[in-house]
Amino acid sequence: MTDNVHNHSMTIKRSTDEAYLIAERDGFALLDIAIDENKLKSTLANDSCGAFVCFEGRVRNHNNATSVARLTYYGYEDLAINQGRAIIEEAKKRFEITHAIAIHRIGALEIGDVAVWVGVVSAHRYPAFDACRWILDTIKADIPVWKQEYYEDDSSKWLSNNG
Amino acid sequence: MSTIDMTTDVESTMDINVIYFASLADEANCQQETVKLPQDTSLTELYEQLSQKHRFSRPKAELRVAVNDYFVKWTDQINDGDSVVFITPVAGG
Repeated sequence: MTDNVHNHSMTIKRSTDEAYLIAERDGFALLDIAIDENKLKSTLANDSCGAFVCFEGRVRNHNNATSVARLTYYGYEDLAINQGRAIIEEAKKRFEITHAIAIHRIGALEIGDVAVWVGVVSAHRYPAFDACRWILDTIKADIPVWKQEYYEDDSSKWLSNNG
Repeated sequence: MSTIDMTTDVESTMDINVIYFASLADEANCQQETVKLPQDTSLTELYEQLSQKHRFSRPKAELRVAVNDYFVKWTDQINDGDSVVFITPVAGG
């Protein structure tokens, strides 16, 4: 397994600033560094919104009974951004929300790192809770991001969300 | 030899850029390749051809496909210059 066949999917092509701008405008982007949640929260600040709901997906130290040492996420950035835009548009149709932003991180992550962040603002609380969950579930089903887990003995495995 | 033959030849093929991610990149042992195909080759035929070449372990039924950075249907047509990505089951979150 040579690492270089994955170089194109371990970092983003855009600058970090550009990724945040796309996330602000379209609702979704990939990042290859730590997600700045304060920046995202201030982007979502809106005086008409009484509710802000956020979800952080963090790297866990086990998968079922197996101990996980670290993992790497790989992304197909251009498709992820296009599909992410469609997901956020659909969320705004399905739920009474004002805005939503989601970011998925790619590259090598450590245990405890935030891999995915979803934030939703709305006038009232229930649509924000419901939309946050739906966006996260849909990201997990449809965004072209792949995960390779590395174990204590340095072996690794490609994971799948749907079998 | 003749100009007509060459023109016909150019018109009857298309260059498709195939980009690989995740386990398919491991199995193909490359990030991308350009494949010259007869016009009217379908996405299914392209996957079957590359699957034989690289011995991909996943059957087409487990994959989705994207053309030019958007998901498409397997029955959608591809054209000269298109970028094609076969999407193995995703694992974000």
